[in-house]
Amino acid sequence: MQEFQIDSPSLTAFTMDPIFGRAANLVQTQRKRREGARLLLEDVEFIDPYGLVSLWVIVRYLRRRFSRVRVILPQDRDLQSYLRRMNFSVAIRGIARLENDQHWKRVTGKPSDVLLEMTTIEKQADVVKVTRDILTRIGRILRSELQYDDKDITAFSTVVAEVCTNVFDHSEDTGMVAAQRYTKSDGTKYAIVAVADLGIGVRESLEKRYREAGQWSHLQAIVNALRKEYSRRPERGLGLFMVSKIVGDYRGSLHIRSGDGRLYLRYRARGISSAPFPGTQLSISLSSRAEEKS
Amino acid sequence: MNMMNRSETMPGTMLKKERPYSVRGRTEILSGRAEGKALAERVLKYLETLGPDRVLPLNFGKVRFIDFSCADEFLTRVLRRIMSGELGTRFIVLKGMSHTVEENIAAALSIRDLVCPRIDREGNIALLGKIGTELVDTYRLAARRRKITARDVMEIAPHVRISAISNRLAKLQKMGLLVRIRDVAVRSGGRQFVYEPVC
Repeated sequence: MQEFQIDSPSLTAFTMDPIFGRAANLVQTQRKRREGARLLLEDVEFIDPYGLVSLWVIVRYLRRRFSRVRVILPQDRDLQSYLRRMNFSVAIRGIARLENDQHWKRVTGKPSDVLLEMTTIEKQADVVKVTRDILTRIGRILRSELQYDDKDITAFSTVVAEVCTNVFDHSEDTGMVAAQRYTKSDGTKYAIVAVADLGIGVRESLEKRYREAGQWSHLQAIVNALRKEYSRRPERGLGLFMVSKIVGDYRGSLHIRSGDGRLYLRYRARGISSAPFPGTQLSISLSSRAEEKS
Repeated sequence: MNMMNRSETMPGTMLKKERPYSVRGRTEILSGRAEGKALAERVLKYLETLGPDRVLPLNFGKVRFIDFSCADEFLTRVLRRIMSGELGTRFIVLKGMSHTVEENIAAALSIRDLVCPRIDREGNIALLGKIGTELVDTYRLAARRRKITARDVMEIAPHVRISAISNRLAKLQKMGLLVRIRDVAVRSGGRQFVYEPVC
């Protein structure tokens, strides 16, 4: 049984790159299909939506080489209960088994406090379902806690709908979306939306239209994908452009990781080397409207 | 359906306003390019069944949310067909939109450099999309007067040359916002075009 220890206490867009790299190494160095792998999350203390959807793609990736995968859950009881509320066990059902599950049970009959549980995206109807959820239950949370108004809810729905639609329009894979809101130590409130897939990645998608894209770095492909009307299909390519515009309007941030590059956009774009790993993983942070207005 | 019964004409104008066309998708949430394309095809087909000189109000009253991709695919297709002249003198206006719906439609039109008139719930007319202020002012004057010539526009732009104003009107016509209804003789000699706003 191959062990894959996650030693970072925090799983976010800023910390996942080396973990993707180690997962890729582990899979590529296995010449024979090994019996099994254990993904050890025992020492993890914090997982944001990007960390969650990234774990989902890593587990799926490990299954390409290992006949079975076991996920050892964090020791932290609160984090375990959070994973349960975010539907982590449901998301990885059928691809991995959970260990160290303390079967924490919710004691109140209150509805879940999470913004958007891990939700599979494979067709347009899934996007409609998520959008409906944003316009109702999630919208109520965003209004009360992040002081969002109708315009802000529309922007939030637009961001989620566009990044989810990109999964089945471009990745040639199934995707996973999740969202949660947070409060920083200075009281600033914000929401994080993350989407991940294990598909062909940004560069290969653009290569379907631009032959020269094969010569680009992955980072250059991501930068081009954010440009207006830059898409594998003519007359398209407005989705990510629109998302980056909304992120700018809300003083938020955007991470797009694909191939071996990650673009981090906050006020200005910064390219960051990542480890080669399939698919596209994306995280968007939008601050509270009250912060934006101040 | 009898064409005469489902449209109305304002006295002295050429364009006839049709009964509103209710925009409906699979659910009250319109999402994705495939749905936008299907909506556009339905509306274009419907426009083709109308007689010439018609304005079709697209009523979004049953739509709770339209995402950006759907709005782009739907209205870009319809407006480009109108602007190309393939539909002759058949136009659309948007109505019954909530703020949420209007937000994404306006964003899609702006990014595509398109413009479309919209009527709000109080009956006020505005232009959605990307358009310069001098064109908006000219359109407003046309909407107020119902018919307009280049000389009429000099009322709001006294220092602009008549040729520039004629270009302005031609631009609004190309955008599908004005329709040229006839030309008339002017006292100083020559002729000038008379335009009518689509809404």
